[in-house]
Amino acid sequence: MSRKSTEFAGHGFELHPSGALFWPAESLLIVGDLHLEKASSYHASGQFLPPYDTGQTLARLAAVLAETGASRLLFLGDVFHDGRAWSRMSDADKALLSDLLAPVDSIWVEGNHDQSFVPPGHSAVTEIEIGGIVLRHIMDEADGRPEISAHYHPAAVIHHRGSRVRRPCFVRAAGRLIIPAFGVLTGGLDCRDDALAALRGRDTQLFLLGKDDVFVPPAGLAADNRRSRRR
Amino acid sequence: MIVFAPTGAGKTLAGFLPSFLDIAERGSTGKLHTLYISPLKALAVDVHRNIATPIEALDLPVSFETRTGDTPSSRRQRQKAKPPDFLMTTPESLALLLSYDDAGTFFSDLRYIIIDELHAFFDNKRGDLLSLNLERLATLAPQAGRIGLSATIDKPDAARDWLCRDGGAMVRVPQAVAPVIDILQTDNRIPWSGHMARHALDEVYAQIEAARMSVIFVNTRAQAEFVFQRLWQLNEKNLRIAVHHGSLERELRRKVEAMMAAGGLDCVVATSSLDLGLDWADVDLVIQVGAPKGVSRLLQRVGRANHRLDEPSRAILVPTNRFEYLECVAAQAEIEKNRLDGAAFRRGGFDVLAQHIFGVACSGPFHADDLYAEIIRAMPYADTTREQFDKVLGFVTDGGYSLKAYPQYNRLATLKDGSIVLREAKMARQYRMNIGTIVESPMMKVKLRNRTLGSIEENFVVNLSPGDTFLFGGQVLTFESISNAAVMVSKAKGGEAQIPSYGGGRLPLSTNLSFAVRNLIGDRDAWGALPGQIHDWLALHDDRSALPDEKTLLVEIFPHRGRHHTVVYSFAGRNANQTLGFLMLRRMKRAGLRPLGFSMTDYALAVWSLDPPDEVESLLDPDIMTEEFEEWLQDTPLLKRLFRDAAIISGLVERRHPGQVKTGRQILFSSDLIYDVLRRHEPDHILLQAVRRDAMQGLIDAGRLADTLQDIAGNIVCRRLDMISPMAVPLIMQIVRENTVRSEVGDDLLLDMEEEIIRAAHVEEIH
Repeated sequence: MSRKSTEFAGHGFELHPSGALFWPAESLLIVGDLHLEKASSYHASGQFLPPYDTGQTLARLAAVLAETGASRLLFLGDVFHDGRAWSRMSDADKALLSDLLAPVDSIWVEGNHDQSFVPPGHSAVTEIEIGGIVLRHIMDEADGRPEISAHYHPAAVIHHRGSRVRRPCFVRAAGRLIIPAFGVLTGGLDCRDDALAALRGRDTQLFLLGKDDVFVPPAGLAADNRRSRRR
Repeated sequence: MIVFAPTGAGKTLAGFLPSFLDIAERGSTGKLHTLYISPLKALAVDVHRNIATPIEALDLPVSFETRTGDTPSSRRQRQKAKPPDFLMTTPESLALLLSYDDAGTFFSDLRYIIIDELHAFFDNKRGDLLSLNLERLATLAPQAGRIGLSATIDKPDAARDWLCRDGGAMVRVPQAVAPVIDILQTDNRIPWSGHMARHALDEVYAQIEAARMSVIFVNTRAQAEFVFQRLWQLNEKNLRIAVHHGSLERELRRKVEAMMAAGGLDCVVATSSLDLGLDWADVDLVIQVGAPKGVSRLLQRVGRANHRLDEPSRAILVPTNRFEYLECVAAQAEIEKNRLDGAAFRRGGFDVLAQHIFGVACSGPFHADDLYAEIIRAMPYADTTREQFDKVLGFVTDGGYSLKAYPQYNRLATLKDGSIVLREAKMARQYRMNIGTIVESPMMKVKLRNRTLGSIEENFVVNLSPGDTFLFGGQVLTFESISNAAVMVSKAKGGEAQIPSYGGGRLPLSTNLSFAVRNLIGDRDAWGALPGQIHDWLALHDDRSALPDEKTLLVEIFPHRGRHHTVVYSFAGRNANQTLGFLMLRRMKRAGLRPLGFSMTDYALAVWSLDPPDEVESLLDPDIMTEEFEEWLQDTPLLKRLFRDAAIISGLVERRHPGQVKTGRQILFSSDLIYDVLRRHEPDHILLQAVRRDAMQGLIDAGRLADTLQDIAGNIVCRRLDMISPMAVPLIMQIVRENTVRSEVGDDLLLDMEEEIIRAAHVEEIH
């Protein structure tokens, strides 16, 4: 795996192809939107999606923790797909989660899907400030402080040599950094969407997730580049 | 019993004769007597209209009605309480009727089941579903006889077995007069590529003006829109011209059909939404715009003209580019030799079986043994093993995963007596919302203020920006916004429009025709009969490159717009070319050539890469079918595409309906992600088996590809060119339009983008 480094609000960060954000100076790994037990949430409506997403997401998280050697782990909200996800989670997956939490200090920021649920023995905060950066689940446009958030599952479409590729991405704008979803069964929102209008600007930088690499397209995020690519 | 007859022989009426006789003799019982099933809603409506004449003439005491997805719910309710004697319906509406708990009573007095256009059901999932429901009917109403009506095909015995496995009578009506089929001769320049026939439409207009009533068949909805709009621009004589395709709002379609039947139109431009069985005696000319793609399909369409046995049907073929001209010539020759395309029969899909089992459960308790015995009577499912059936049953019950989850959510429950029931009656709603085997890409309603004009693919809409214009329903519309999941439009102030690129109706070419085209290209003596410009085009290609023929395989390598293109003229058909494209992509990646994607037609394949190959023999070695094929099959995006359909048909995920508002801003889930999770954790899951099985029998076309590669080994002619060759133009143009995303090469593309930025930055530094 190769990571890309970037600076944000005067601190150095590493962007991981899995969608995790590593803050070396704080030995802190930041992940958001795991949406554990998303598949099983559909079973009640008779849609039997394969119930393997939780195990796969947790295995991925364990791998990134081992690779970065982070001693602290910050969940940036929506770890669980809904408030009852924990009750559906298998014992094996619960064990997997507690094993990976054992050696690290964990910080749980609450999201919107998870209905503020955290596993027994932990507690959630609505937001937290570290090194002058506020970390919360959903971007707060009214807050002028530097902010790292999740929630939107940003994805970007790149056009190059007549082909197009769509990938989840980090979005770094003036004073704001949004991380992609970490869960294996999560969709994405085109980062040109109006919901992310606050991030638009010539200096906004996207970082696209590849299989083993993070890719950096030319800077800039506009409302819509679809018109310009017309022949 | 099965009746094979050419169009216009009156076979629909023949199919109803036993019903007429029976009901005249015994009178109406007040219950359903005859079920007529057609593959098209429009055909069911048309037959309903046409059957009225003999019924009135004979003064039969018969009530007859249609029931399709378009029937208002009030009438459907009434039909269930008080059924007509004759009911005209579609396979989907039949499945729905069979899912109610009173299905047993509803069908108990059924005498006859008439299946029109039977040949349209042999090679697709709608046919799978129909075959299963026919066996359901055989259980509920064992006395009902089956009457199949079919076009003349090359495997009549197999067709009879499909319809009735214990044998049955065959009636064959020969073609009395051969159709007269010409190719439009034009002084205008026939383009090298493209599919819109812009060059020929003034001549087409002259033809429809001279005819009494004409039908113009096209292959895609985009063509329908374009041709229709151009004809209106040329319409100095104020001819009454209409358009008909599947995305138009139902009222508009019904209106066009009714006007057509009443003789109120001079011409209708139509896609395959109209090409089966409709009976309009006044049509005296059929114009086929675009290549016919198969002899049987062409004959079917040509049969729309002059619906009388004793006069020839008259048709004009309008090739839209030079390749298609050759295809039209080849089709003409095949028809003269009376060589029909091979009718293809398939093994039934497990996704369809899953839907059927769910439907059976909705209608009431069943025993697994009985249902298994019933479904293997349907020919597409005859070789289904009990183990496979049980796996599908398990899938319907709880998803069928080896990791057992929450029994409180199971769909089915087994009672003490061993019978299987729906766990909760309300689950039937999920089945009824998802019924059917046709999966369209997600559609959005198109609205002009409060008026709905029809539906359009969401994939097309996401590429529009406010102010863009496009053709829809024969009008130039301006895209304004998306509001409440509908596409809001206004009327554009005239002028040209960007054409909807929706994929609807891309037909694969039959094997016979593609080889006939190749032989025509290679046979210089036969060129004399071709028009000058086609002749010149072939000669120019020969001059710049070489000509493919029966014995050799032509490969070209040339640079074009910053990429290297490797073009293989295999003539193996679109599906086999697609498979070869994926395999070559892998082999070229392995060779470090950084391939980016490919594009194919029925005739050829173009793979493009950042570096050119040194030689092509190893890329086309037959061992690609063993080394790369197995590996590729594990991981092909093609299976992913089939999985999208199978996930919906099987009921794994719910169907999205047009205009349905998404519940969140984010997409709920993508079936691609589900596929990845499933493949990783349960590679032998029944739904993955289902997808692999479907792929092998059509989309991948491994057999045809393996044969082609064996044939050409050692006979490759490779030409390195400085620039694109004449015959490669359509392929390369297609690349520009399609912008194919290939997840497996996406990372290479992004890496190249980064390198380009770095190079550009470096250049700036120097200057």
